[in-house]
Amino acid sequence: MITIRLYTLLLLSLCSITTANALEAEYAGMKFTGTGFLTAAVGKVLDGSVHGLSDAGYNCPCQISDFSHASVYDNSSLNLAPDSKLGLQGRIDFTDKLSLTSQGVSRGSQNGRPNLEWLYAGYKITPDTTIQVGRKRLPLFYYSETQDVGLTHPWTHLPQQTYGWAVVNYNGVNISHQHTIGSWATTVNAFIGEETAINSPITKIYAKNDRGDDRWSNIMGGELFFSKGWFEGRLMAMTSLNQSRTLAGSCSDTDSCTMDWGEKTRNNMYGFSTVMTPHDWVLMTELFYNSLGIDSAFAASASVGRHFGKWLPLVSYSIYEESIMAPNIIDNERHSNTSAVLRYDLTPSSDVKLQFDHWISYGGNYFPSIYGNSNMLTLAYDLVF
Amino acid sequence: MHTLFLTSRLILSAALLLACVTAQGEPIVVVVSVSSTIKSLNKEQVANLFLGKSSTYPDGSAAVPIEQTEDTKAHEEFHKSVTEKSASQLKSYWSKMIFSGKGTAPKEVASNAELLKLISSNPEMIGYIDKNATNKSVNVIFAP
Repeated sequence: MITIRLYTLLLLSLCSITTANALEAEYAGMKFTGTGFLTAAVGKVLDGSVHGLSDAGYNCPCQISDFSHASVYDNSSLNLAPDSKLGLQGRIDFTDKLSLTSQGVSRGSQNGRPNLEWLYAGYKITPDTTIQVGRKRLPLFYYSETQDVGLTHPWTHLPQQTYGWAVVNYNGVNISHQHTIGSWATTVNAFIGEETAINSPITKIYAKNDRGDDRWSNIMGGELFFSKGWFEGRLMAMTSLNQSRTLAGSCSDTDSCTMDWGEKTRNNMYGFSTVMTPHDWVLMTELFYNSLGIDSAFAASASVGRHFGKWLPLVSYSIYEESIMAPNIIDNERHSNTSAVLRYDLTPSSDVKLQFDHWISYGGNYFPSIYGNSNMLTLAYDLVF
Repeated sequence: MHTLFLTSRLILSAALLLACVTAQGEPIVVVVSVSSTIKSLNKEQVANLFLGKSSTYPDGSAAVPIEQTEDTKAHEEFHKSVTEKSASQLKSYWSKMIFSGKGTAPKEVASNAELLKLISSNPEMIGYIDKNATNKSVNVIFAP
């Protein structure tokens, strides 16, 4: 109880900051810029079809808000941790062309433990071509790279059915190039790299006390943005060789367990997104397909909303459908979510959002038995500084 | 009494009209240095430069957009008519660019005079000012 009170006090203190600016300093021709972001969220699962301690280890009724970071709202009064996070970013511009950027994030879902999630050097080869080397976010979806920065999107948490994969960062190289064709602006970004996620949080979604490791090697991918006026489109394709291992209970989080990695399996991912903002309307869609050996998955989301001054009401529908191509498989993971969110911009740098989620699980017995159907209410405050 | 009532209504109407004209703000124009080779751009091309979607002019030369600070009327007028983004939408947009490593927000100046001084001596730069603040050191390449 004391912990919760302290946490609330901290969040309220941070919430009192309604205007803030980036920190900037110059020394010996170098420029330092310090920026950051905060989401203080609270939520409660109102009701659901699963009750008591589920086989996944959560007190239900319960609902997932972010697969990738094991964010689950359960039935233990008001939940502060799942969607709350604080991020700090520092950037040094050594010259007009060369820079170094790092970003650390502390998440409530990971007990507040700070984690260095971005660290990369950037070099402008030409005014419209940049190469970056280091650790970055894997750009699977439209909002993947800013999924932690609540101010950049309308929701208290991104549509769970699309933004939910084991690997979210990678170590590697990317090169991006801008080009205009008439009034159309395009950006091509190609990336290569690898990632080994030890104690990957997504495993905790399926078994809270198990440890799962994921390794994606030979990552190669590209994305193309094309925009004109209020229309923006995005295509993405990526391939990698994936391995994973799950260590049920017998291996603690910090042990260097010796269980062998499984066979490398070819992973192919394809995405298509559109964001349209004609006049005051907001229309967004994301389509995603993934094949991994005999397993394939389709994910999609669609949203429609309209700005009324500082208010933005928006409704979204998202769906995830897994298909395992093997005989006698009856437990494909399948679920959908319908959400309604109301966002109010307090200042250009801050907002508050109230979101209602209605989750339905189907496709066999397993997922309906651990999460089932549920309704959830979340309230979030976002700030960038 | 009747005359006094009519006079009051007249003054009130004039005040409302004046407030309305002031709220619309001064028209703005997009300018480059007279030494620049750029003669004109369309609305999408200007918006692309100020949103970091493009870093070069149509002839391939480098472009450096200069913003006016958020508290200026020119800033509000420019983004309302060219990028069609409110202050909140613009902050959200640049937060996405900054925290994803895709770009940095343009350099800002606090007045028309400061912008003219900067742009007149740099052919790569592009900015916007109140229409009646232009002088011979810059060329107007777009008027919303």
